[in-house]
Amino acid sequence: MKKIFIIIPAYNEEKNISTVIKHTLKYSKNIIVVDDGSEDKTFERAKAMKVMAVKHVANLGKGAALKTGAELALREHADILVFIDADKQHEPKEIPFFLERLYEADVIFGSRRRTKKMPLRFRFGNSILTHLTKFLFGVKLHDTQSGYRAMTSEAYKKIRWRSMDYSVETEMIANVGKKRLKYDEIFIKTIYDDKHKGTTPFHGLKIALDMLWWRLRG
Amino acid sequence: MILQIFAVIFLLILIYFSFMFYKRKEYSIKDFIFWLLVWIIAIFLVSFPETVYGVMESLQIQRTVDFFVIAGFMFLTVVIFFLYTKIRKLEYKIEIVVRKIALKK
Repeated sequence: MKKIFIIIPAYNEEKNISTVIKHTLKYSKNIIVVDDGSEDKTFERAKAMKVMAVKHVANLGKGAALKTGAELALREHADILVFIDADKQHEPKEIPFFLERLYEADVIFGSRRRTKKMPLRFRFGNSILTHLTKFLFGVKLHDTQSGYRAMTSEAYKKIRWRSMDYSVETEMIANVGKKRLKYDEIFIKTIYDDKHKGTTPFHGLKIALDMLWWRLRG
Repeated sequence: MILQIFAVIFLLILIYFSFMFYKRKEYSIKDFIFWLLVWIIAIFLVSFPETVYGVMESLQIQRTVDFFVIAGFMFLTVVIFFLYTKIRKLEYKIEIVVRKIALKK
């Protein structure tokens, strides 16, 4: 029986965290919430749900929170890591699809369809980054910026990232390409509750420059 | 001449700030001496621009102001580069410390 750990990075998500944990618990009892230095009661709410919760004393960024969660999962001898956002953007009921596909690959990426539901700036930025990812790292995905992903712990050890911020999603892909890991993608449903959240055009530009740097770094 | 006076006053203010940081123990003696030397060299060059005429000639720069603007930009670029590197290192160290604290609890 494989040990599945679900990692939820959270920053100021006191309104959503309990619901996300509640729905996620149906798929694994091993849930790690990493509170990335929230100023609200995110950490207390997560603790109250009786799951593993750790807190960064300062806000570092999503990449750092994911890494803390993954490192903790490794300590707990995890076999599979699933990453899901804390803002109810992802549907926990799709976790079994990730796990199913993970038998044939090292990493499974959740991809959002670029429909009209996706805010225009996301659609545009995502399209550019997706093409750049394919060109620079040979990884063909429909969406490079979704945080809904699953991987084996062995794969995680090979693609440990250094990005502390939103670049993490792209660095994961870059490392998968460079390490020639087996990957696959599944289409996921996404709910956009807060259109102002997520990657801004400035972040997008930074990610594009980071990608060039990762390629040059080899 | 007015520009030179303005530049010297500006550099003297920077010496004062460096001294103040040293007195507040925000700078070590090493930092203070480094910045003091930088400002003194700048005051010397601004007061006696003829000392750089040789360099200007070999670089084919006609006006003294142009030389100082170019030199200033180069200095700033170096400072920004070092600052960037330093900040990245600090960020990395902070990340390690914050993670260690989180996982220790």
